[in-house]
Amino acid sequence: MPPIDMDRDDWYRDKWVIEIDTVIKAGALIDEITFKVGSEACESGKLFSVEYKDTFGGNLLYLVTFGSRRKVKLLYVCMKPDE
Amino acid sequence: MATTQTHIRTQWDTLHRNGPFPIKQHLVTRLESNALMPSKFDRYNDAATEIRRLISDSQLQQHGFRPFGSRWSMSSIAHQKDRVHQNNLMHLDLPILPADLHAQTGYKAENLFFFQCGNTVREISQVLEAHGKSLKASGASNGQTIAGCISTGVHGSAWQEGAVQDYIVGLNLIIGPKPEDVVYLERHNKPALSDAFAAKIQARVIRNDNLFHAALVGLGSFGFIHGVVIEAEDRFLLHRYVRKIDKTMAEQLAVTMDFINSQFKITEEIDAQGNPLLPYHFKIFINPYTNDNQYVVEAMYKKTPYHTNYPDPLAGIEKSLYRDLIYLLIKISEKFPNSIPWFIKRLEKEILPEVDPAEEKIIGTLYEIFWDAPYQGPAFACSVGVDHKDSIKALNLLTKMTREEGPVPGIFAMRFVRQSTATLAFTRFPITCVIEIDGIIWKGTNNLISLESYGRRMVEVLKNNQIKFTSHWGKNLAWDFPGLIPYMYGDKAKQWKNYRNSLLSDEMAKLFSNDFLDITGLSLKEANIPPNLIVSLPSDSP
Repeated sequence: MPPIDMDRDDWYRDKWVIEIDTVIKAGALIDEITFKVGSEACESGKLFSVEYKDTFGGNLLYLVTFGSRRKVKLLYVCMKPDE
Repeated sequence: MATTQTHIRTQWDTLHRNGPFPIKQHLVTRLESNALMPSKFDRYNDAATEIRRLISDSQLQQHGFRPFGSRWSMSSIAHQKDRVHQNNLMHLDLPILPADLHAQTGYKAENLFFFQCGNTVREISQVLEAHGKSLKASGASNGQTIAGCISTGVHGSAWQEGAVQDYIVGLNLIIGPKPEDVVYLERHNKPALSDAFAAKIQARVIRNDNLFHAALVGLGSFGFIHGVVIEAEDRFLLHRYVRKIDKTMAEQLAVTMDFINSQFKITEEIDAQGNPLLPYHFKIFINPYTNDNQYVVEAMYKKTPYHTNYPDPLAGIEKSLYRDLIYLLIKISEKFPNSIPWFIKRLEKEILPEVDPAEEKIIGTLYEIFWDAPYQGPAFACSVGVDHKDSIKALNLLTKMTREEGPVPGIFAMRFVRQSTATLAFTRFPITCVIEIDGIIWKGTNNLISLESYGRRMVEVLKNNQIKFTSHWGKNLAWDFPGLIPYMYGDKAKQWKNYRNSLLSDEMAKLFSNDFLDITGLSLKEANIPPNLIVSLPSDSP
């Protein structure tokens, strides 16, 4: 896996991990938000696992902004590209 | 064309953080895309050309060069101070057809599979499953690459099957920068593939039992292992039981391996006469800090033919301790070592496998039973191999030393492996009992023995009590202990060096060496190497 990603200290160590930790502007009328796994981030386009973390702060942000700010914390583990 | 990214780095570490170790370059090779080069053989040969180029470049820069796969070894065996080469993205598998077999082979084409070095046990198992096949044995988990497994002697506890290297029947090595440095090795007495197949991978064939056995556990120093030929077998199921049994019964089994006449009986695992069946796998867990009169044991029984009608063996939920809690326990242990036994006793439920209620078992394939390792944080493991007849004497000495000179944050286990034919296999006894202590890595303090000193004491205690032993090449030990390798391997170490120095030029022997080889004395060239060691022999030669 890309060596720069190999210094984590958790279960994801040595895995091809894409970490998304951001706040998205949504708007009160937006129902679903889709995250696409781009080929630059995950060359094989195949996911081994996805971890989603729901936090109290994230829920609070959602509430106080009436859904227009949504905190997203995702970890994708990408499969090796086919050779 | 295959391409290599060069990362200039100053440090490199193992998966379990046993370093860090200094390096200059970290290389990562990727194969050409299959859209641009559809033939697997073309991509494989193209990768070989790239590896030769890297070897040539390292030679020009007077750098050492060492491939690594998943970095699971805890010793420094995979480290090279100049260049380390990450090969886990080189994971092709090549088809073997009946027409590819050697005329005198005893192998069936349907059981032979060719894998490139970077395939992990997990990837190999998936390919084999798609053909209704299975590996014969594996380690306790599935993340190691096949080249890493055989280079260090990864094993399970399949005491009638052997370690991973024992079902390798062919090796494709790259031993230098020239096209003729691509070689294919196999046994002359048990040839597998034809010269025509070797031509497809552009390799020069050498059939020679002794050379093959020396290269099989090559410690990463016998050239670049580019591909291996594996003998698989029909997919089978394992019935896994975890029980608590009397300590004396467990000890007797370890020393005799006589299951047929033992009192260790699992109701479902008996023959028509009511005698116990032979388990495929047997493992004993020992907490060195308690005086229980029972041990937890794990036994598995092999079942053929495979069928699909069994419950999912994979736990839906796996729990692990808070990482911060582990660090906290280690910090407390370093200050107050006497707390270690107390912690281990409290954590026994998390560390040891769960003892099944009376008649319950888990059923799964080898691949399903030896699944992903959940913990990948800092860890240590010391693992010595002794003749199983000496196993309880050795265990008692080591646990006594651990209690009196430790404690250390780990727990013991015993596994059993059939003798290997590889020259430097650490499973070299008729049945090797692997006595291992695994745990969380710690720092030595004034109050607490260091891992380095602990490894040294293991060697001293076994040597002082005249116990013949070896050690897993990828585990922690005082590898620089004077005279260690001759004590372990005797003339076999010399034999290994002679074959290595016959196959590799002096320059390449240096390039494929590292500190580990230097401290163990295995990089030294013997005087008066017999001639003609690496000639290819006909299959009717003795």
